Amino acid sequence: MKKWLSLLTLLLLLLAALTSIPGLPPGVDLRGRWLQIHLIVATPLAILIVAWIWFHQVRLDLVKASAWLAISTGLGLIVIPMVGLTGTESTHHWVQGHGWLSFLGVGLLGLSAAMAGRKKVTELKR
Amino acid sequence: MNRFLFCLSLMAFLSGNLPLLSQDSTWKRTDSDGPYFHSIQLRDSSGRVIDPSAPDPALPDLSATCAPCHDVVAASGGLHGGGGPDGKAGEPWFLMDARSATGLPMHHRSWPALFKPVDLVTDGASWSETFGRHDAGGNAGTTIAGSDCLVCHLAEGYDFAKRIEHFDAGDFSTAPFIAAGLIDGEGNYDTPRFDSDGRINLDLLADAGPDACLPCHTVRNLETAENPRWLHDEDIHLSAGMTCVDCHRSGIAHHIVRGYEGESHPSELDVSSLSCRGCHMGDGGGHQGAPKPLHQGLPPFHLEEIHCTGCHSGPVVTSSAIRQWTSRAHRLGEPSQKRDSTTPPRIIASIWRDDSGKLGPVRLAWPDGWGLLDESGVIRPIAPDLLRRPLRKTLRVRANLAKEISARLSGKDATELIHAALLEIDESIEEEGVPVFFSGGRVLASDGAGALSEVSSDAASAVRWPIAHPVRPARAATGAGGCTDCHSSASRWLSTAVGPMSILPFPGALGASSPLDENIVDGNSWRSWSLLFGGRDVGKVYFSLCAILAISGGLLALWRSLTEEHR
Repeated sequence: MKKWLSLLTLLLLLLAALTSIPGLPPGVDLRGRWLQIHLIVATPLAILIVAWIWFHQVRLDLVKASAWLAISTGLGLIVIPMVGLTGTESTHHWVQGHGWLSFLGVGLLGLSAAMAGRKKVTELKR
Repeated sequence: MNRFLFCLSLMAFLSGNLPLLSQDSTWKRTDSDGPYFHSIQLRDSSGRVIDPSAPDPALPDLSATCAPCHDVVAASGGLHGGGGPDGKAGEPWFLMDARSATGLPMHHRSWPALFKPVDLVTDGASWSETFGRHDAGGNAGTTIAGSDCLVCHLAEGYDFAKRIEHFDAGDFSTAPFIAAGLIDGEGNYDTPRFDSDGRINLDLLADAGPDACLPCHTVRNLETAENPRWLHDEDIHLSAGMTCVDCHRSGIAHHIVRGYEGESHPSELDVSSLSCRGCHMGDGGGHQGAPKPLHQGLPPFHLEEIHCTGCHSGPVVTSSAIRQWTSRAHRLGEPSQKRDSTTPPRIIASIWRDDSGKLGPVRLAWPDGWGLLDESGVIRPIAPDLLRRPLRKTLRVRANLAKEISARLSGKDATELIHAALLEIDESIEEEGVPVFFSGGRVLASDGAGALSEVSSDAASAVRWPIAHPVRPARAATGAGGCTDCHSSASRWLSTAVGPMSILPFPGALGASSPLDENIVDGNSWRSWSLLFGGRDVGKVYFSLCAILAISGGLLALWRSLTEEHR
């Protein structure tokens, strides 16, 4: 996968995370302008996630694979209320699940990057 | 010492139980859920039993007739009788007078944008004559008519049209008996209905059904060619067999539960389960099997920002700002050929954000009339009686100022005529203040040079009160057709401009605005959502496909990495 696409995916992931902050604390769902921006960011991001997962040439390590699975599951969780399969009261839980899983995924990606960086430094030292 | 202590404890015991003892000894109760069969004797105002077959029997008195068994003093008050806390704004009374083009919303409660009855209705007799037809009694002492128990509790045989007729004629004390068919207009008893003891069987019930409430509480969308009356639906609760008092309950004090969220009931009891949300969305399911709505697909904050009635009552999305009649404002219940789409007051249903910040449907109306502007900028309305002479002298109005003047002007503006009337009012009314005319949301005064100048005042601003009925079921609610019921350019729910109408033609534009214009709902946000929702269905498919592909890819990647590590 081309590097600029990877960077774009990561940038959009960060933007999606940032635009979801007004939805915190838990119990206050994201709404209004921020939700619109979040959706606008999420629309290309969704297909980029798919592309990243399916067309990434390098085999993923466990942490990175877990990160992408968490992000993908987060995407899946928000689709459930979006297609009208949940009642309003339980929608809160699905939205929150989406948020926490996505944050977890982004966090794991960061961890994976940090681990890879450390590994590279160690290899260089050798 | 012991004896003293014994006496003291006995007194303490008795005083502690006095209310219970007095209640038991004063009022008989069957304590059965079944109705009590009322075979009763009518009594005159001094409490003496009336023998209807006697020559020249006394006229009956309702309070004295009911008092032997019921606490009529308590029953005459309560929220229904105008007592108790003011609470959320409710429907005002409209003082209507066609001869002076007066249409003033008023109430003794301190609700916003209302005139005070004390400025307009001089005494209890004039209150009863003006509003008694639709006032069951009490009304915080503004009426002299006394409470009419029969209008609410007589399940069958109450002729409401007769009640109106006799209240208009000033027969306040006998009107309930005439309407119930117990006596005729001359005061003669319907003797065949009484037995040899002078008793009469009356179908009196604590809950006499919706028919007992609707004469005073009907609200009707104005009939149009596209929306004829026979196609109007009634409240879903009534269709389901419920009655009004299933939710709007009360004890003998008649503090009838109003049923809005956060209501503080004078009894200090928790009545939250008698609101829409309390009944349908309470913990553990709807109250007594009330359907608990799922609102599938509805983002949760809608329930935080919109009253239940926002979608389940009031204007429907396709025809916002409908015009309505109400019983009290338009004398519904009175047979009339004169009631038509132009009959004032003009009451419009629209959407508003209330003090709690929630959106909900409201009725709104603008006042018309004449007043005196004092130095502090306050406008006191002038009672129609005081306007008769000056208006007749300058405008030569016989019965209907607006219609007669409009016909005479045939399209020209009414500035000159109203200016002349204001000058005449200034001369003929002794009270201090600058005479003003208000209509169409504007207050106009003489500029001293033959023209009218606009006065800045909120005296002509709209009065609003929430709409709660008729309630539409889920399938007919706003949003049943999806998000685009509201979030589309086809939705008129929020975008229809509503404004006042001047009763007479004046130069200058009248302000009309939609809930979007008034920022009741953020217009830009609403329009951008409408744009986004155009592609909502495509979006659902797109995100679903992405989610499926991403999850399956993610699982595959995880499996691969696990097997890789295993090797």
